[in-house]
Amino acid sequence: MKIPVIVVDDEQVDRYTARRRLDRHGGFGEIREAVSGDAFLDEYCTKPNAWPKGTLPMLILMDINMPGRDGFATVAELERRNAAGLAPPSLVVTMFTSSSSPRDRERASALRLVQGYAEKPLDTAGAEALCDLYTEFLRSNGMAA
Amino acid sequence: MGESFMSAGKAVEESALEPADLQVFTLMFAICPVPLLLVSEDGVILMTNGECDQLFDYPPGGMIGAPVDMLVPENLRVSHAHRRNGFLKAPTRRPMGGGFDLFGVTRMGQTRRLELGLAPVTAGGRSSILVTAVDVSARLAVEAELERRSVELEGLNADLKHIARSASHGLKSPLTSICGLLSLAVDDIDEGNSEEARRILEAALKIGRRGTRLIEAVNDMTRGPSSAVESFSLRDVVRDLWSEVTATIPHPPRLVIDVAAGEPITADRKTLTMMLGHMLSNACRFADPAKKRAEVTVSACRAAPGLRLSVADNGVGVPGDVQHRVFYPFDRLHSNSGDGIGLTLVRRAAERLGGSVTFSSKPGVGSVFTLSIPQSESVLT
Repeated sequence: MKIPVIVVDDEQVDRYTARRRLDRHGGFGEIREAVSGDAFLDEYCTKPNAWPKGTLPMLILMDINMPGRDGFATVAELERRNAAGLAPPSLVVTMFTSSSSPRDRERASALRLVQGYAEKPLDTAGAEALCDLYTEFLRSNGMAA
Repeated sequence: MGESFMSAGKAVEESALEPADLQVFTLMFAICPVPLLLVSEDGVILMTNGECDQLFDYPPGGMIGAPVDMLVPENLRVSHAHRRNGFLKAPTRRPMGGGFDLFGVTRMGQTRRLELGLAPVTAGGRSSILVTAVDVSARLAVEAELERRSVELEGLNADLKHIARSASHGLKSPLTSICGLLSLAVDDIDEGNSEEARRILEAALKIGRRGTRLIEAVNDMTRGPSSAVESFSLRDVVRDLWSEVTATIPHPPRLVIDVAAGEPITADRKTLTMMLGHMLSNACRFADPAKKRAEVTVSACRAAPGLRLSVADNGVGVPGDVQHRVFYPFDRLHSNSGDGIGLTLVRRAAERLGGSVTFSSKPGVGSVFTLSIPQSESVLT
């Protein structure tokens, strides 16, 4: 199993760092990038049933501080589209940020789809933690790893 | 006991209080520092003290024999009579501050907000009502003012919190990016991939330099007023800035300069150039791709307190719900935003020059940023 990933971040450098850390880990498959919350929603969450059945849940690394629709607003919209069948049916969303503010963590935990919180810069341990989080999500949802 | 007790004395004749009680009652009634009225069951004023006469602006004893309803605003008189009858059916003490408040009206027709206390009094088999009436208009006005200020402070506090969060993120995120890059560079060097390591280090360096500029800009915000005032051509400054700002833009907007009415300008040249630079760069950055032709107009005129300088664009505009955040530091509202500090610097600099900056914006139409700075009279004439 290779975990499919979308990194949503307006900072090119941070997307690059995440990509390299995930590549090096070995457990992650295709890594896609979106340069903003809106770009992510437009690209992946507009068509119904665009995702074939049996597709692995998509791991989303969602930056919080982005111009335009920020990470929280993007996840809120993603939740709406997910409920309306417009988004990937199975998602593991992780907020991805340099902010260690408890307020941001609180807001993240209030969102239905958010499973975790990854601090920037992503390092080896961070990539491992994401992999564990994902595997645990599969296990607790009765999906085969 | 003298003349001043006449009003109280006159009224009590009609009550059936025992003569001994009457004297004490009358004395207490008169010297009580709170406005008092004694009202009969059928709503006739039997007795008032000096404080009460003063409150309603009547001469001493001037209200005696009149219906108490005359002290209630006209539109409330009917309901007041009902409330009075309701009270009489079950007369119980209603202490002041018990929510039994009313509007009162003075002889001259002025409305007063009153806090009332009611106490049933039976004397010689006759029931009447002792009323305390305190004017709380002034107190309520103070309370309303306090409430208004508290709301205002809450708003300012929320602004400050927002600014602190944005600023801490704005300064921390470049460092985070650099750390991420450096750790990758270490890996690359370990693996002998010096070419990639070098590329990464250069990217880190670039971010580091940007961070340094940001911190310098934050320092600038707290700088004191500059004294280097000189006379110079606004048109030249705008032209120079424009070629700088549009150097990397493939299709720059059309520039219209209409500053003759402001020439020559007398100001801190360095500061004004910095401000105009940010304003012009924003006007270009937020050009609306949906418009056939992007246009930026710089105009100047003489207006109080001196010079008014506007940079108008027909760009994408700022949505109404985020307009209040335009001047917040590090608040990048749009993917075209820069470091999110330009307009903060412009506003700080305008304040430092004794002026101000305002803006109006309509999504899809464009934005106008207007700078007002004082000009010394001696130079104008």
